[in-house]
Amino acid sequence: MFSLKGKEVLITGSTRGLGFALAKRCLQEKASVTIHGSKTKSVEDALAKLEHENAQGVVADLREIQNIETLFKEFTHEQKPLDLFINNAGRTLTGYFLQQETSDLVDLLNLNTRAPLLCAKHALTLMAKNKTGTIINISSNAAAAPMPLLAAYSASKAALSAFSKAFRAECADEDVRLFWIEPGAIATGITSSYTKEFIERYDGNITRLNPDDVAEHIIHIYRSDKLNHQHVVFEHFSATHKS
Amino acid sequence: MGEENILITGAASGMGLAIAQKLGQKGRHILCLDIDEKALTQNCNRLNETSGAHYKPIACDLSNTANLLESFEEIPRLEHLVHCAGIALPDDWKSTSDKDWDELLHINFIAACLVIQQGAKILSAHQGGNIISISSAAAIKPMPSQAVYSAAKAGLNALHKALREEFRPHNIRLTTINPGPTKTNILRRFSEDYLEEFKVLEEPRLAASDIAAIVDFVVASPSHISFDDITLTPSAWAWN
Repeated sequence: MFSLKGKEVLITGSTRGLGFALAKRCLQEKASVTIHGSKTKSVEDALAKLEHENAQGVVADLREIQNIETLFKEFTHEQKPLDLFINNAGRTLTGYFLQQETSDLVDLLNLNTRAPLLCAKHALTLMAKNKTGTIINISSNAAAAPMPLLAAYSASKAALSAFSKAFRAECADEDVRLFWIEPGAIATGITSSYTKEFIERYDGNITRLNPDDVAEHIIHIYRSDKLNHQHVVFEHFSATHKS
Repeated sequence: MGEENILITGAASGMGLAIAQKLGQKGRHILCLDIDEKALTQNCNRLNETSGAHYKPIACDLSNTANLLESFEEIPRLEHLVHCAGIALPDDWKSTSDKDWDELLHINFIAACLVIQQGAKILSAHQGGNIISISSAAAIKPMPSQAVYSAAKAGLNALHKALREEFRPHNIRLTTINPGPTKTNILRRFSEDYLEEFKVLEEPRLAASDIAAIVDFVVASPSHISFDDITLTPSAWAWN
């Protein structure tokens, strides 16, 4: 079994939602966890909620390329290794594609695709030095089944999943594990901005996964040394039964 | 059928040029968009002399969002959009910079999404039509050391799939064409060692005219048929 005890973990977008649940879970496993958010206040608030001596925080707006480099520089300034990197930060954008603002589209694609790809590259660069480590990319089940009124988001996640599939081989050359997760909608802040037509299209009845359940599942997959997961797709039990 | 207005991106060379040439029938207005203004103008002049269609060059750098939006503002009407513009770079993590990955993602993915959005707005203002994107077999089967390129193309295909329902009432048909290795100059930024290591130039490969023939077929097909996804590879190519 892979253990998280004493490991150095970095999770992007971890001040709330799934990222926060993952941070909590890693701390329970006695890892040293660096949480990340785009705003100082949200990182401070999340650290206060975690209230743990092994938790620290970094602030970076990942929509800017140079901040991605800074994030990893800041992480390594104490010469610590990076054992587990979780590419979790992302945003959503629901509604008619034809009505979406260019700036929103560019923002979404930069945050959901460009940032995690570049983060994975930086994480692998660090891990390759020690010939060990794990990268987990949080994609979405919209990657495998692109959703109407969620077009750009689906595209951004399909890109992340395809990248993961190809990049996995490059990671394996350095003895670094990579897998990616494609969960259904999770009950987090990300779902509160859904537009009216999106809610109507999906029957106003979007089943949401509990972030703690998803985090538990991901940690379980991390610990497994016998089953080498490539990627895992899952959705809420009731959603599975409806479709 | 009356006059047809067709926009082809990446039309100065390779597949885009082959498509522009193939679609050059009488009564068609073909807008050729590319960053390479010189080659674009030369090709448009030549095609205007040798074919029955009317070709108009649009010099545009798709990696510049403001430039992209301006170019589309000047297009009054479209019946077909063929999005072909794209680049390829070696993108293995060791030998490439963040800037290389950014360039690749920006042109092949972000600009592609914006081209489809802006093009669809023009198509939907009239009677609809075709949006045909030249993607890649790498969208279906992501390739090692081409992880970023594969990501961009898979994202583009997912966008088409997700948009089909929204675009249906606008009578817009969406097609992705996913060619395997094709003889164009898209690989000019690859080193010889790289091309050899990954056997990229190994024959058999498709010709740009093979892809142009598919586009011509889709454009000419009756509107009750939607060609969602067309993957074509050299018959002798082992890829699955």
